[in-house]
Amino acid sequence: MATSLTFPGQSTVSVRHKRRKWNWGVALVIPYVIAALLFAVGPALLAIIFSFSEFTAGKPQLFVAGLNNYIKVIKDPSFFKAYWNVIRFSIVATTSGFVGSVAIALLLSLTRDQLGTYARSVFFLPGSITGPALALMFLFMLDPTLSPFSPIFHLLGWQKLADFVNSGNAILVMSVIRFYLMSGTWIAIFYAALEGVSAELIEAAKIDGCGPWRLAWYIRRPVIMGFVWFMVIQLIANNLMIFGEPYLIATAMGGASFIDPFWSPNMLGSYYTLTLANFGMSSVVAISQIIISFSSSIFIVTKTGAFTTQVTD
Amino acid sequence: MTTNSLSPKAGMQKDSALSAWLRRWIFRTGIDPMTWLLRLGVIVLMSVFYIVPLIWLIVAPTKTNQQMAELPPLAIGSIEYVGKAWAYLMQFLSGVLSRWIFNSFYYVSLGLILSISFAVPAGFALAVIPFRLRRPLLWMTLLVMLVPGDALVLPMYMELFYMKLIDTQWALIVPAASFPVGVYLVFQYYKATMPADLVAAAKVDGCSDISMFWYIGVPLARNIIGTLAFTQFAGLWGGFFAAQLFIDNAVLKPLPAGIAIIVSQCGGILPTTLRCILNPEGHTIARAEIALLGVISTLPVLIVYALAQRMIIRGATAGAIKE
Repeated sequence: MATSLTFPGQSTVSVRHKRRKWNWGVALVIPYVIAALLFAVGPALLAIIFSFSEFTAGKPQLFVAGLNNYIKVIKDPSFFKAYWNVIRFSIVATTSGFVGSVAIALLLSLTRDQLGTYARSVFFLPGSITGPALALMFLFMLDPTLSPFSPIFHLLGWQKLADFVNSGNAILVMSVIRFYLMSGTWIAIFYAALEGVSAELIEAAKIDGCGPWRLAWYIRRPVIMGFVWFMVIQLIANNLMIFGEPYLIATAMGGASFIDPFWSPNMLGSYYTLTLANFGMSSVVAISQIIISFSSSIFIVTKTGAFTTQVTD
Repeated sequence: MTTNSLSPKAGMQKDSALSAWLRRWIFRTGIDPMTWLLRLGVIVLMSVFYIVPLIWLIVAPTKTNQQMAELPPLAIGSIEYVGKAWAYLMQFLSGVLSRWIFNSFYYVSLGLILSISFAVPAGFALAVIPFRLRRPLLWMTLLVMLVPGDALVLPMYMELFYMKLIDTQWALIVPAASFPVGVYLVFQYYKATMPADLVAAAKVDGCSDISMFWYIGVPLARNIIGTLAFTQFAGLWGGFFAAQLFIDNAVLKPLPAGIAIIVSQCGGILPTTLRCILNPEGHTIARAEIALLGVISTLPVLIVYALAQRMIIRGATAGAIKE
């Protein structure tokens, strides 16, 4: 029997009826939740299960491998070499990207004029170049026999591509490519944020005797610092996952390549998957990447305050 | 005498004219001329760094291999050679290039439809309709949104392998349905455009949740769909790792993965690695053809970037920053 509650001035409300009422919120969100479980949460869980499994002709024997896959991957010198490569790359690329983007954005924001708007628009464009095109374009750009920058290269004593583009400079070359791709977007983002600083605040600081440089450092910089952490963590995570550019360079240059086929963890993982068909070892590489990614995203959400989860119930 | 007596005065007038000009300058720009010049210098230098490679990429397909070595790097060869470079590329694997371009547009279009049609209702529900699990779902969305796409490609390959979707077009279309960045952008958008008071007023007027979505949410969505589409377009078009891993059949590849096939089979970057002899005349895929591939694969995203910069910035930061 349905329980009835009666309030003064109200008609009878059936609690059971209320509970049964279809919630359209759930209905509207279900397709997305299924997709997210299938293509974001699912793969992560699958990687955990597969990392403890053995594979015979693609058929998994779940949880029979124990820690074998982990031991095999750890014993593979390519695994640590790949992480050593991307960690060094990440340090150089993140530092240059962070310092360069913030410094240029602050410099642009010193005054508001058409030049700043022009710069923001132009610097933003390289972000549109797709990974393969970018990697190939930079091989041409760094070739002193073809590049528009060849006078500078000649001054530095580089006469042919291999004088700079070689295994000793791999980290630097990859960092230049990343800086070219990413920095313009970040400059545009920071510049947009800096333009949002209230005019009253700027005026008040000017009245207090703040010059343009002090204004940039003490008033404008703190406005973007919260967001800078978001940028730095995202850059580190993205740089550690790099695949497209080194893969294309290794493929395009063949035997003459300065990048080996297992240069990054994702390149090594794709080798385990496609060439060795060893999903177990590939899962171990994937888990290492997922741990880094989820740790960074948890940090961003909980510590930087860049995103809101406030809802009214 | 007269001149001598006027000199200090003239000097003073000159000084005061200069300081007046300086004051006007600082009043107008907010910075002194030296800082302004430094700023200008950095803008010019960085413009050269960002734009010259793009200009080179665009003019390179107009030059033959020989012209590339002889002409200045930014000189234009002949527009006709672009047609020839295209014809040489079309001789590769019986014109598979046009199929790659079609595939890219096809996968991206279906991916966009799927991702937007899933993201809009989900973002609306999370922002407007109270239901249990709303907060955990929002947290899940945020965490997944901030995970770089390439981190999940390897395990997704295994999942798609057992779903028997590897080496089918669906491997590159269906995963687009999970678009957490889009869901979060829509959530923020509806939070701003449909405040709690408005929702409460609509409910008092007898508007059910679903009618609110249909009669208020859907018409309002027109303003956010552009941001979603432009944000997702760049990601879907340029996605390389997934395309490289999920599709083995050369005919089903999208353009970025197709470029990898051409450079792996034909070389084309170094003069010593020209490996594709296309016809009896000895034409080959070389630097101009590779540059043309770069232009073709970049042009759609470049147009989108040029037209919708503000929307893409909003998407890149998932709206965490106010423009």
